[in-house]
Amino acid sequence: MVVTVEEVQALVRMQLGKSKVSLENRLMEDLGAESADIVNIVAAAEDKFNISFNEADIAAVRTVKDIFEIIEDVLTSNS
Amino acid sequence: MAEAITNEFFAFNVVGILHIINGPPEETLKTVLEYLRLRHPLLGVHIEKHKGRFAFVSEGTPGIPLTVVERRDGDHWLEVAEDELNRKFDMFTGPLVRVTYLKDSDGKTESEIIVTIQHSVADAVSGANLLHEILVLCETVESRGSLDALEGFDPFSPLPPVEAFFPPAYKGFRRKWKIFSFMLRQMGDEFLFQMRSMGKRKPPIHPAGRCKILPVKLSKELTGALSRSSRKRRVTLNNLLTAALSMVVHKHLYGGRALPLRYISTADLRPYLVPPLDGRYFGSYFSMLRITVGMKENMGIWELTRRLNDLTYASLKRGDKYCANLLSYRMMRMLFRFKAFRMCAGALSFTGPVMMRKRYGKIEVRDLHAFPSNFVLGPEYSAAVRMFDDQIYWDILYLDSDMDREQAEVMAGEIRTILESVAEEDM
Repeated sequence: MVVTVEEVQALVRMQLGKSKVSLENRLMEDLGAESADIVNIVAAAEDKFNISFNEADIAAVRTVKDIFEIIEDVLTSNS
Repeated sequence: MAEAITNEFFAFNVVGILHIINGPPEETLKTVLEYLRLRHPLLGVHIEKHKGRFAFVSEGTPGIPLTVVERRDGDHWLEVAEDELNRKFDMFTGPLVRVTYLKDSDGKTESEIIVTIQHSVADAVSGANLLHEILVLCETVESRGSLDALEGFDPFSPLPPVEAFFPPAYKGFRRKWKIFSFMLRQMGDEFLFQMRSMGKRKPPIHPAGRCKILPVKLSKELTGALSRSSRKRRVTLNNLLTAALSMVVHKHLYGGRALPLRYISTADLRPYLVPPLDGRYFGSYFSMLRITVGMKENMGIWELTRRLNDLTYASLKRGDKYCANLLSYRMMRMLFRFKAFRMCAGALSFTGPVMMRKRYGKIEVRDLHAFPSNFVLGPEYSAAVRMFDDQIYWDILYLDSDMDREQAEVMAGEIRTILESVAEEDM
C-alpha cells in the first residue's frame, strides 16, 4: 500500500473542514487545529491505511507533511 | 510589565525531579545553572510592583541557588519535593528558581536533581525542557570541558508579557469584547453550578492545608493500549485520563451522586501565539480552563470521556484559553479575597511525551516527576501527567486537610483499575 500527498491533504481537509490545505501548513498554527482535531486526523489515517501511530510520533506532528511522512515510513516498514 | 500569578497568595511552584544514575559533579551543575540563567532571562528575575502591576526585573537578582544535600535513601526526594511545593519564593528578591541536588556520599551512583520554579516564570512544558537542557549541558561540560560551543540551542527565550503574542482578535477593543463575553459565560456557568449543586456536597474550604504528593507510573504496555483506545474512540488521551480521575473523585468524594462537577484542564498557548513559539521558549504560556460537567450515577468511562472531550474542545475553539490566561491573576485575587468557593474538585495537567532522552553521556535518566503546587482553594485531587520513555508518569497531588495518604492511595489504585479495564476492552 502506498500513500499520496493528495490523500493526506484530503484527509486533513475533511477533518478540519478546510477548503485548501498545503503540505507545509502547520496544523495548529496555520489551520487552527486543536489537539482533539489532530487525534481525529491521526485516527482517520490509522483506519484508512490500517497502521498504528505511537504517541511520541503524534506529539511530534506539526505539519501536514509530518503526517504524510509518518504514514509513508510506517507503510514502508510494514511492507 | 507582566501580570503574574505570584505567590502573593500561596506557594505556586512547579517542582521537577530528575532521578539519575551517574549524576554530574556539583561544580558542573553550578556551571550549567549559570549558563542557563543567561540563556533564559526569566531564570534571573525578581518581581517588582509598580502602580499596582507586577514586572519582572533582572537587575540586582542573585544567581540560582544550588543546595547540595546528602541523599538519605530512595524516598528522600519525596520529602524534599513536598517541602519545595509548599515553600514560597521571596519574589521581591528572586530569583524565582532554586535547585537541590540530592547526592549519595557512600559511593552509590543514584541521585536526584530537584528544580523548583515559581509558576509565573515557567509552565510544565518549560520545566521539562529545562531539565532536558540541564542534562544536555552537563553532558557537554563533562565531554568538552566547557560551554563555549553549543549547537541546536537557539533561539533564546523572549520576555513576556504573553499577551503581546496574542492573535489580533485578542487585542484592543476586540479583546475587551472577548473578555466581557468570557466573563458572562463564566458567571452563567457559576450560577447554574450553584443552582444544580444546591443541597449537595461542594468542595470544602479548609483554613490551611499542606500539599502532599503521590507518584504513580503506568507500564509501557498499558500506556500504549490507552493511547490506541482513546484514538479508536476519537478522543484525546488527556480527556481519557481526566475522565478516570474524575470518576474516582466523583465516587469517593461525592458519593457517585448525580451532580455537577468542576475540573480544570490546562492548555498550552505556544502554538496559538503570533508568531507561534515552540517548547524551547522558556516561560509560562499555559492557560487554565474551568469546565463543569454534569455527572450521572454509574456514568461509564467512555461516556464521561466523550463529554469532557466535547466540552474542552468547545471551550478551546471559543478562545477561552486566551481569556483565561489574561484574567488568571485577577481571578486568583478574587478567589482569595472572597474565599467563597474552591476552583474545582479535580484537575489534570497533561503535557504529553516530554523531549527527554534516557541517556546523556554517562548520565542515565531513570525517572522523571513533576508536580505543581496545590492550595486550599484549588482542586481536591489533581494530577500532573506526562509521558517519558513510552510510559505515563502520573503524579498525584492532594492536601492533607482534604484526605490522608491511605485515601489518596486507594483513589490512585482505582484510577489504575479503571485504566486497566479500558485497555483490556480493546485487547
